Amino acid sequence: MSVLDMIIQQSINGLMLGIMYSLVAVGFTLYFGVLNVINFSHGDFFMLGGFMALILYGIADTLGWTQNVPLLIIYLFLGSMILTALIAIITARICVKPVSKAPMLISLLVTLGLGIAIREAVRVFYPRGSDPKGFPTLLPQGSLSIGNIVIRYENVIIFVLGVLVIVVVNYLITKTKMGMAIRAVAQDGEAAMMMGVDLDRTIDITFLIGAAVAAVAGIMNGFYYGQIMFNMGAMMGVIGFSASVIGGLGNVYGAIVGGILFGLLETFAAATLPMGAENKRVFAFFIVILFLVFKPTGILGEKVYERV
Amino acid sequence: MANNQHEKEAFRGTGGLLLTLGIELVLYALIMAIFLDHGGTTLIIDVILAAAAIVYFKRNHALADKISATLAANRKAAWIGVIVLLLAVPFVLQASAYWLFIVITAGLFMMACLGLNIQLGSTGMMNLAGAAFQAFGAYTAGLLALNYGLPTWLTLLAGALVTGLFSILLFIPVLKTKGHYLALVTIAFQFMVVILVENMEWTGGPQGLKNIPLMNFFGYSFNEPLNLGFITLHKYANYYYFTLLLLFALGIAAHRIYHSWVGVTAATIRDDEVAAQTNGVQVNKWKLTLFVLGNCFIGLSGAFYSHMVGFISPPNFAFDKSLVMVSIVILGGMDNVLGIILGAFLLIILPEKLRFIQDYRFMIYGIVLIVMLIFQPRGLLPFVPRSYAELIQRYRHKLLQGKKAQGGQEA
Amino acid sequence: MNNNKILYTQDLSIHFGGLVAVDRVNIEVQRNTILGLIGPNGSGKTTIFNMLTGLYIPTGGNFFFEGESLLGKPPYEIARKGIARTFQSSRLCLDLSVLDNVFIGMHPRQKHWLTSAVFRRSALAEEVYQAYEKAMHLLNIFNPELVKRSSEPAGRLPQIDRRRVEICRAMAMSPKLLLLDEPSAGMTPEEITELMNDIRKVQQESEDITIIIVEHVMSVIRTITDHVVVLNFGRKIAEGTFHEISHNPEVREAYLGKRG
Repeated sequence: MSVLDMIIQQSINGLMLGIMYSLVAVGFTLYFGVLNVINFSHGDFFMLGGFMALILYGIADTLGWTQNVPLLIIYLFLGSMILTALIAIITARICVKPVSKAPMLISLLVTLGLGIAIREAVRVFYPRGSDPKGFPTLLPQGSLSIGNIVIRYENVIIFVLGVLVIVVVNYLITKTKMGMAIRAVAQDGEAAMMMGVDLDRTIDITFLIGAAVAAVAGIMNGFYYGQIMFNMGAMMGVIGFSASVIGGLGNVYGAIVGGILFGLLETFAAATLPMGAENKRVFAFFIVILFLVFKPTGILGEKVYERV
Repeated sequence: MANNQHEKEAFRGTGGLLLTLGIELVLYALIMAIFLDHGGTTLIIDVILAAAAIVYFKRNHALADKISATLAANRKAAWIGVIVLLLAVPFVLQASAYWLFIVITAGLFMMACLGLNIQLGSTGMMNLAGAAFQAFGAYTAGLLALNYGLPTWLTLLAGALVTGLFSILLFIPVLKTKGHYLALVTIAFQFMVVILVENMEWTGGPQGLKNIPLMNFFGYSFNEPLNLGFITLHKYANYYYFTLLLLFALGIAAHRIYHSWVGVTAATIRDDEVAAQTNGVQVNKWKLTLFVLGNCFIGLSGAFYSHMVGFISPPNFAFDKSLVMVSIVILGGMDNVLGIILGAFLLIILPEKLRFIQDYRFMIYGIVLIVMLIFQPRGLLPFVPRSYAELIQRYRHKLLQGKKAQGGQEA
Repeated sequence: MNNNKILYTQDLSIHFGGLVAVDRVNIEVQRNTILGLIGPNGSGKTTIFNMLTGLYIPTGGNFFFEGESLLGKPPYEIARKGIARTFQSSRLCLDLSVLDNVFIGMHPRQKHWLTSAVFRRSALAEEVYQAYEKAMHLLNIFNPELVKRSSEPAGRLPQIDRRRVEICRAMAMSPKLLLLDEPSAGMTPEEITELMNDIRKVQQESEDITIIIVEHVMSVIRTITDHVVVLNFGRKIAEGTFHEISHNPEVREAYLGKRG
């Protein structure tokens, strides 16, 4: 396998992984824009997305609805997105919004606490919740080979789906009225309220979009790895937050770029560094720290002059 | 500046003394009963009593003030009482070594959180990598003892100092980032450390280090039951008394640092860095100093742990543990040494007692954290303005000797 | 003559991105005088203070304090040279006691740090006692009430007292140059009168102190300043005594806008 092949192969793998990270990062950026809060429980919305799909699949399975696979997949995605978003909106109202004006430490810990509560609830209430759960294989298996490069069909579908979701989110935020409201609040909350934007509704919608998109990522993750686990949200939360920061916190495109970059960093580290597979995240996090220190505004962020 | 006001309101004389010791004894009995009771009934009764007491004293400020004044007036006796009662813990828990072990664990959390409080509570530097720094201390001590057979006192010291040294890795981020970003840096660092420890050979990988020598000071092994002649205490009593000693030393040090220029400087940096700078504070120097100092405390607790349990592995130092440490500091009360003690008690010992609700306890832990922070964001024992009365009072004679000419000055 | 200039700037300039906030400003301040710095909002007054205290690094020009260039020096070093300031929106630590807030002003002079704090309490106690007396003395000058409330959190004080504590904090440094950034902001006319007395007290208290004051309230400028510099859009447009600048047509235009 030539170096070029390796680069192409790893780029494809990285893009695939990255698009998943992007979907999680988008939520972080949206919440930060609207509420000025880093929602550390967002990774657990991602995890919930996977589990909701699993539950819905279980229901479909007992009812014998598993013949029509495309329809089943649509049902899993939509159902899981709605349920996850509902939980996100409720939890945001109860615990995220009340602390959005509090010192950053408090909001940080409250959302971390919320993450623990969600994670543990899944572990306790899902049957044998502590064990990894197998995820149904619904996407077509097999792969396509071009020269030395191997592309799995499953991955292509996941990638296309990810891009599709991003296009939809982009449309929602730039072209619709509620998207305008979200951007207005992100720019200047008080001014937006004076212009007649309903803040509470905007927050609900923000969490709806953020959590639904994370749920998509959660299901994609299930398909990709073939199994999910109650505690996978913690790491994904940190990755998603990292990705949104690399890209430029508050900027939706930044989150996408950041997510893909993080995915690429991981795959290339795994392929090229000694013991890379084990330590790929060490490398990726190291780059994140470099960004935080030397370019905290991220790739697409603007320079902000600190007012004294 | 003197406490005249308090002295007037306090119960005086023997009555006050008896009241002070009585309160301590009752509290002690209530807490010890939690451990001795196999079920959770005592705990529930205690919680109800505590809630009732809070409601009662909120309505009767006068009585609460009078009691606290009495405690302040009988300071010395109160401290002696506390020390005697704490020394008695292994006797009371003679039959339940498990609880003694839990108490020691809580003590180690207190130790670490005293350090974390210097960083987070006093100076406002977020550190969500507490467990990772504890790992530096634990692995340093473990490896030094296993590979070089160094004595315990030296490995403990090395554990603390090496952890302080490893703080250098985060020097630049600590100075250049704040708030959410510093939180993310430390979280990333936490994950990096655990992954690395897991993947390196000389740290024992996922299996960790086994058979780390237990504590031994100049031939006295902590692994033997503590024989006092008239009674033989469980071997954990050794560790308990040593923890107590260290906690007293570190607690007093932390308390003294708080009541000094260092405390004032740290608090100013936390509240307003710009104001600190324009008043001549070398913000960077102090941030680094206090960051390292805090990590030394944390490292010491890690080193202690590895010599007490004899076995360490990466999961001992996972992110959750960092989270617990930060929760202790915030829940107990930021920048408040007593708050740390209370926080560690509530977050380490109580959940252990809540084993009767087994599986649900971490979920409840998360919910309690949320509820507490929404309704009592300043912690159970909030920050109180520094008072220099104690310091000046104690050295009054000395000061007056030097200043006899201006004797009229008082407040 | 040169000896009498405690501070002067040479074409002091700063720009943020494309925005020129201060443009080649030259100011001279004579020792033991009060200089008024006035101008409409956004004319660069506070920005100049931020440069003089090292919070912003000028992008052009230079400034000299006691004949020495302090360009590029960090804020703490400038503070230690003897330049103290207050802030427009008071920057006290509201959770800390009044006393602690004043103590931080003495930070550069304090000698007893970590080791003394833990091991040599008596040495620290002596220093604390001296600091305590000095702080009480300062607080007493401005408002005897502050002495009584010295152990309360600063956040519980009314606005005017907070400003006084901030001035005390600055004075605790025993500065040679004091920069007051709009001390009258948010005060009633009576309070402003009190404030002017306070500033006079500052002058009486110290033998060698020079003050630069940024102010919108003209009565303050008229009563207490010896010399006034007027800024507009980051440029110096006039200077002189209050009487001179108040009759300057360009100054009137800057404040009232062009007529007709």
